[in-house]
Amino acid sequence: MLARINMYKDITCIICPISCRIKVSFTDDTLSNIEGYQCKKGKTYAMNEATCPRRIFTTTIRANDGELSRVPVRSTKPIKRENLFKAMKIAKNVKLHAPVGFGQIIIKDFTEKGIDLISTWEVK
Amino acid sequence: MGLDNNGFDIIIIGGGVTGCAIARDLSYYDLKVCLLEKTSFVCSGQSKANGGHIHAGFNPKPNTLKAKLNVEGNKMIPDFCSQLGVPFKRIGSLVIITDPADITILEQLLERAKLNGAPRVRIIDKAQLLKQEPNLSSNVFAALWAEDAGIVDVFLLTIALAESAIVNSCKFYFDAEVTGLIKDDKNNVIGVKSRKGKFFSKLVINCAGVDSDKIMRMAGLDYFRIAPYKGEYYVFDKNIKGLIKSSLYQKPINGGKGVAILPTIKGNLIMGGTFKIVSDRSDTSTTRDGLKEVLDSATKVAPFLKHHSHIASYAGIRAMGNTEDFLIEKPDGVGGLINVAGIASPGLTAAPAISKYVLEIIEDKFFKLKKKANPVNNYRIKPLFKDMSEGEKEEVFKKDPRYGRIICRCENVTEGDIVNAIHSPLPCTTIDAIKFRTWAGAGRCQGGFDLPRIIEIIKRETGVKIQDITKRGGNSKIIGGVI
Amino acid sequence: MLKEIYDVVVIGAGPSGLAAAISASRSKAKSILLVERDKRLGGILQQCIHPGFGLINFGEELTGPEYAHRYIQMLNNEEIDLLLDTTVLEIDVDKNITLTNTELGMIEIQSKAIILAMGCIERVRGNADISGFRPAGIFTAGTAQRLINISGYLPGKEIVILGSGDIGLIMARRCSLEGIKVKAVVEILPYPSGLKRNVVQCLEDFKIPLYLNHTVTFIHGKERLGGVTISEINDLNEIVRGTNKYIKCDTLLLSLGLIPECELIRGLNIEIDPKTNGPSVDNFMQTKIDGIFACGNVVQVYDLVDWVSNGGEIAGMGAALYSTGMLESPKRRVIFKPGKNISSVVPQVICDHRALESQGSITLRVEKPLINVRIEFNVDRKCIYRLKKKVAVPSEMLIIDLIKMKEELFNYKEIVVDAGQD
Repeated sequence: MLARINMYKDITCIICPISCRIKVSFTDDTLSNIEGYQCKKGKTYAMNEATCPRRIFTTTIRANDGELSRVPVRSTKPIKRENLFKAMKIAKNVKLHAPVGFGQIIIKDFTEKGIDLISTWEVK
Repeated sequence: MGLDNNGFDIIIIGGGVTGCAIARDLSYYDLKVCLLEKTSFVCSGQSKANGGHIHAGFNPKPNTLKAKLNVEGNKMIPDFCSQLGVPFKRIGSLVIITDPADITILEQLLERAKLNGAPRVRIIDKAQLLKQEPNLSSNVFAALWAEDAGIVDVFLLTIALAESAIVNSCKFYFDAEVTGLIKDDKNNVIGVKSRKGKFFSKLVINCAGVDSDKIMRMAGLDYFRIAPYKGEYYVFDKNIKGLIKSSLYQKPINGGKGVAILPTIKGNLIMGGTFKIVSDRSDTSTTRDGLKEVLDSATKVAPFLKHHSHIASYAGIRAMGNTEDFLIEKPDGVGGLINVAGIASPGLTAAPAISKYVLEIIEDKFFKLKKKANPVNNYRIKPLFKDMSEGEKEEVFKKDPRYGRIICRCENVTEGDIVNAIHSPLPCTTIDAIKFRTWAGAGRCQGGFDLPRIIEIIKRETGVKIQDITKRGGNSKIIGGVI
Repeated sequence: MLKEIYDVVVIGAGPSGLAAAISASRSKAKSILLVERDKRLGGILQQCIHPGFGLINFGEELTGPEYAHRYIQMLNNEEIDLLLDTTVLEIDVDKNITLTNTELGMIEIQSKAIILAMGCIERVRGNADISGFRPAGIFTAGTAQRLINISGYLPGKEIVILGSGDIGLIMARRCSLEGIKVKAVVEILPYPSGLKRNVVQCLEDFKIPLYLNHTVTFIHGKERLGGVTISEINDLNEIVRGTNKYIKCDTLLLSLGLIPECELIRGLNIEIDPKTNGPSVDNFMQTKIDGIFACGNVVQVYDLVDWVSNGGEIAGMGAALYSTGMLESPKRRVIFKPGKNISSVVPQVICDHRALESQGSITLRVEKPLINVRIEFNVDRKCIYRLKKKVAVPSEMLIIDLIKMKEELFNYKEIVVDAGQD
């Protein structure tokens, strides 16, 4: 049987200017303790950030034949932080032609199911 | 004459204000003239760091060429500029002292003024000084007041001179640094080797500024050395306009002119310069110490400067020759060459007079000058839209509605102005050239707003790829890559 | 058809201008013109493709363009004349406006009320006197953002960013994602000047080194940038010996802060507050000149776009009332001044009229990070109001509601706002 492995992450909370330093501890890859927070929001934030940090992904994609050369896009929900550069690669390979509608889905199930890549501007 | 494509009567080395003034005057004569410039545009060396001040003529030592050509140039400048359509203003200059003991310095300068023939120079007391310049500090004591000093836009002037020459068939070559002189077996210079190939000539005129001694050494002439003196300067925003009415100088120090505060004809204020010899002639870097020195010295007489924002700083190298005078000569023992060397201050003021003097040397020692049959006389540089009259604006807008779109907000430069600069007789295709010609990007935001728009205009008008557009030629590319 | 005289002219169609125009229309101004120098509406939001907008006004975290889209849709429901690709050249005290575009050339129109919503410009290298050469490869962060997000051009391949304000941090992330190597973010203060969230999501996420108490002290490279020297700076603004470090790079982004774009009001003798670098305004966002209003970043640099739009909304209301002759002169007014540890207070003047109902609050910034903060309103050193907060940082604007103390306020001519640490 393997020995228990203890590990912790120091998370700086970003919910409010107090910026609590929250220590999230793991035992065998399971969250075992969390301390340093002063509110529920902070606790939730730190838990998510320590176990599976996610970020809203934004970039621009070339819009061919449009009045604008690029259209800004975003992920509808935060994607896993570890997928940010993979997301960039996928976005770069998209061939998009104007017109592009505001909120148009560019890629469905972008890096994972349930998250889409949509346009955030209109390009005629 | 007309040997081959690279055969010229006269080759001018150097596209600063001196070289361009000579090019323009020569272009009225029946000669094949070309000008070779090291960098990608005119006015890029010493001329670039010039504050635009036109000197009255009390600084140079009496009985020198500097003194003679300074005073003569000052008299010629107003017509010189108005013929070209370049604005000029006489605002006068003051040399200010704070220590009563320094009155002897002012008296020496006054004496020089008299000997040099600089008119309308006199010493004024504190009361009169503060009446003229009410924003000065109360610790000023007296000043030398010279009414004939003035200001001009050195970039616009140099460009106008070059264009005037170009429309009269003078050829300009850029990125054409001269790397050697070609001589015949009688020690006559018959051409040059350059980065744009070989050019042949009857006469080479050396206006190479900071490198004018290098060119002389290529001819085997070792008696002249340039000591490169760096000068650092601050540029203030236009909201400072009106706080100073004339050009202000302080006690001259160490061969320099002391820290000056100079209104420019565009409405900015330039403060500077330091005076420090450097080991590398191309070291135009600014330094923390240099800028501190300038600010400390200038705020002694003009304390209000502390509360104003400067928008840029720069440095230039002065071509100070070891003879302490202009060296304008046909050198002994070497034919086919005229040196116009060591043209540091008051080179800008003297430019029209230097050119006249050089043409006299050509007629005297080389060949007679015959006027062209049909020269383009009175070439005037096209003004910026904002400087045009109401009637001119209407006409110009009708022909090109792009004059209705503002590209540089801080300086009110229109797209029409930029397109015109790109397609001028002297095409402006780099960011700096457009800046020199139109002042786009020289304002408070320093190009922050206009840069992305200007590069698109350059691309559209010249077909050049975005990645190849440069700040000032060479490797100074603006964009790192296209996504 | 462009009118010769308008009730309200709004200059700038960014988040403040859009909100102002919409609000002026809803407040029954009879004719409104919105002038914008860009070819599209949205202002700076068009290039702010990242999230962080609208949490307060829409309860959602939107990206800049999405936030602008919401307001543009609202604008489309109102009767507002639009002039795009048009620059205002000049305005005078009589509210004559000179503007120019490629269709009409230079023309003059008049307005009963003007709303200034021009936003701000970025501080440049010269403001910070960074020594060295002047090569290509130096950009302000906002210009770089426009080049990447709108034009699709990369400023360079290896960059250093000077300034850890939000724009610099956002660009650190953007550049990293585009494959540009961000070698360092350099900050002269002992703490990062942007939001904590951006420090985490833009620097820590990408493992970008942050040098505090440092600045760029020399720029190398004669044609294109070759590298920068950074050095530690002490409290006397001197270089600490032995701390010079050379970082090879081909691009330097400057994130040195924003200044209100006041070019248009220079000639006007509108009082500029030296603390904000923008015009002083009252609680209807009216400047010292009757009928000229200002909102958004041209008044002060905000951190949340939601407050920018709210200020615009108030200015729109005020301008509409003014244009219909319904903005009564205030019976009483009180001046607010920033005191100890406070860098700015806006509005600078609170008037006792109906504006108090819509904007009964002031915004302020502390000069440095403070904990266990005591914010006090002092009159002749006597404290008339006190507010306590656990933490206050310069990058996050504080908003204090004045409605509760409305009656007491106007007993005084001038109130100084101080912040102390317990």
